[in-house]
Amino acid sequence: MSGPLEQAAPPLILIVEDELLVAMEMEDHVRALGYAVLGPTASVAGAECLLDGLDPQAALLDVTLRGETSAPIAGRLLRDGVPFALVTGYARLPLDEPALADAPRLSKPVLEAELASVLLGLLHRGNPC
Amino acid sequence: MLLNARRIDHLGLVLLAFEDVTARRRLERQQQAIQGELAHRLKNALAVVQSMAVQTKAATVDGFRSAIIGRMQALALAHGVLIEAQWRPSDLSTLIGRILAPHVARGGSDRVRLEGPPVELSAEHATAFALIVHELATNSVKYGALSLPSGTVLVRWSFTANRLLLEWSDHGGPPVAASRKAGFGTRLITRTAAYQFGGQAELFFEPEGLLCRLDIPLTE
Repeated sequence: MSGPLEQAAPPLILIVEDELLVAMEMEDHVRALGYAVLGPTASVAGAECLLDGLDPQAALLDVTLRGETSAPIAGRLLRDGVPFALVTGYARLPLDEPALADAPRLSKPVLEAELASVLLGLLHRGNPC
Repeated sequence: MLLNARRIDHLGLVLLAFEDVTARRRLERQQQAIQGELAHRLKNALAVVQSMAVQTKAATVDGFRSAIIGRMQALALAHGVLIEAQWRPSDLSTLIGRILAPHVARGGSDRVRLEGPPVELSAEHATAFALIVHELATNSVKYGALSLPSGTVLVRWSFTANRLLLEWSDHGGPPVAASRKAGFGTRLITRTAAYQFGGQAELFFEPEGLLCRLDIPLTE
């Protein structure tokens, strides 16, 4: 197990968001918080490609993408043990998909402070220090 | 089916009523779906506005105000077209005309020529496309053909095999400085074409005026 001091590179955060402007803003925020960004990408296929190449430490998933949902990506991240938060335009959206049910939620429009604490929570999950 | 039962004591009978509520239930489900969809679109639109505000940069407060209002208006006009079309695919030419209207109001609409066959844009594509057209129009008004009384803009497009090829060209504006660097507007155009459409946008700052070529797949 490597502690934060031994970790030279900043944690890599995958961003999946189909609205370009929102994706660009999120990317800026995540970088400003000192993390590296994987993506952003607008689709399940795009995310699959990125995940084939690199392993992020956490992910931010917009639930509703164009004509699909993030459920398949969430499933893959669960299998790989990568923590993720769901970004949703509609907080009460019924999320029947078991892969999506237990993840922390961020409601749109996302506030930077909220994003910061959710990311911290994801990256330190299971780590009491 | 809805079942209702009532005992009629003095007759020693039970009255049963069956009511077919299939249609009513279907309507309720449809309404719930529409409400969910509207809530989603509303929050999404607000998120986009917030993102525009965060990313719009200007040297002065007035500059920022007019830039952000322009972008919000483009988004509002696109939503107007979508609401009229009841969120079904809307006409490309109508959308371009609507977005350009505030920019050519003073110079007369004959300064912009639109040439192309009827093309339908989905609701998701329409808002993204409106922002591209708005950025091109803003550039024309500030630095290009529409900044002079004599300048004109030609927008031509073709649509074959589900590919939209659109060309925007400024004519008769002031000479374009070759050193013009790409700003947020330019970045927005190229990134929108790639990210929202899986297509491509190329911008050429020709001495004659800006030339923008969009190559966009529209398979729904």
